[in-house]
Amino acid sequence: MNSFLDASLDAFLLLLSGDGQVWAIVGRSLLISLISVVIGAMIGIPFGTLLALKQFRGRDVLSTLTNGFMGLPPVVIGLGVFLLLARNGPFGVLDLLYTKQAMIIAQVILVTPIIAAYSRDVMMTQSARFGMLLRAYHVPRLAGVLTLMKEGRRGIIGGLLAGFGRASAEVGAVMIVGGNIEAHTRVMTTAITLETAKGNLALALGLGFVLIAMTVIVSALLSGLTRERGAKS
Amino acid sequence: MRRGRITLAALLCCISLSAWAAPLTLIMTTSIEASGLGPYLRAAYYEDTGAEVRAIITGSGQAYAAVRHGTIDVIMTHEPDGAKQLYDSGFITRPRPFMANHFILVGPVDDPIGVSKVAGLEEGFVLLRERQARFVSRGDLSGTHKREERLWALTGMAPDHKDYIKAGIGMAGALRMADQLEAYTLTEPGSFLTAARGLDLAIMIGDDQNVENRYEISMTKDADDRGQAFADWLLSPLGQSRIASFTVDNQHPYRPIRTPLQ
Repeated sequence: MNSFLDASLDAFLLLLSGDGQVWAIVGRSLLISLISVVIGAMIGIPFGTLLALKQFRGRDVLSTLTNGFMGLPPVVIGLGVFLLLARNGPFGVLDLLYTKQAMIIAQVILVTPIIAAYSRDVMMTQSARFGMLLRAYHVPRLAGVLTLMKEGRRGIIGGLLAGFGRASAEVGAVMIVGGNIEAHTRVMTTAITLETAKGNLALALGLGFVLIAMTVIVSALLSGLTRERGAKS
Repeated sequence: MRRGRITLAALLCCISLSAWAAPLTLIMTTSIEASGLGPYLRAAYYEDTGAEVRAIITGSGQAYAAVRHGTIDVIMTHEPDGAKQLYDSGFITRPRPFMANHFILVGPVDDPIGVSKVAGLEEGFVLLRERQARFVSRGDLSGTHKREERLWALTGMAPDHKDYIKAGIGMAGALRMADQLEAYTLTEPGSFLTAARGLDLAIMIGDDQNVENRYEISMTKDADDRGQAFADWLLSPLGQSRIASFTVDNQHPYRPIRTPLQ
């Protein structure tokens, strides 16, 4: 019980003291996970939309795979990316191992299926609601898709949030491909793992509280954004 | 009615869980487990006595925290300072050494700074710092990390050069990183023999007998007779001969501290 109180106190002190290192780690976590989500969105939203609106051979298989890949174990992704980027691996010449870029690659693989699946389900619902109407008014295809996206933006943003949550919370992949190097690839989750390994359980839990706060704030900002836009239109 | 049944079921679960006798819980450092010695010793103990051991594998730092939180019977580590602190504050019995080897410096096969020509680890570390060699540090307050810090302290120079990589990872991860980044790192023979398969790393300084790596065993204050029995076995001629006959790739990474059975 005592250590739980210690942890809360530690977290509070950490934030108040403005410890540059902690803020740098928070910033790195945010940066890596947000970039991963943006790239994941650029792939996942169009892909999910395609799955929802277009009839083609193999669609069901791709759709099922997308669902399954939502649960990809981070540590397995980490291993796969490690082997691809390793010196003697196919992309070894790029010299990306133990960099932020490598961590982003791993996290993009992690979040893209989630964003794609959310987008697919949202676009299916919206298409069922407005598809007939759009066709009846001969709305051009692209404009129609954009309208559906606009109507379903909350669901799509829900997918982005789910992706962000997963990316910022995982440790297995970023530990393997990033290496948890101080001031380079150390993020919140790997810092927590390290403090646990050092036996600083209270500090580790304190950092955990900071990570949770970070996720909550990002979620609040993103969902606040949709609400505001919803009110305007 | 329904709620009553759920409560009853929960109660039964609790009772059966507490009645389920937990085996002896042992916490050991990752290096012992990674080299295969951990599983080997557990199997040997079962063979010799019929008793089962449950092992928790963590670095020394986390192991000490687990002991402080009172969930462990027996602790096996190789970080004497931390163990002494635990002993001084009454958490464990006096640590008893049961085996040893020595720390080694490993690095890229082509050895860019020629550190393999140096006699001992202390001189080796001086050269590493002078030539600003790339070095992977565990950075996790493990026994190996603590020893690395002591070696830097002996050289009188802080490892603050650009290519000194402060990672925060386990031994296998650090060896993998040293391999990928063509860097040097400190390790011990057990971990190295096991993890070195497939890595382009070679032993640079492997026979510095001054830098001994001692493994110690102690019982926590929660331990019952079974913990004592395990420690007694490990320190007995039988247990010591088990350690002596353990091999990785036909090499003996650990030597028992007492005279084993011949």
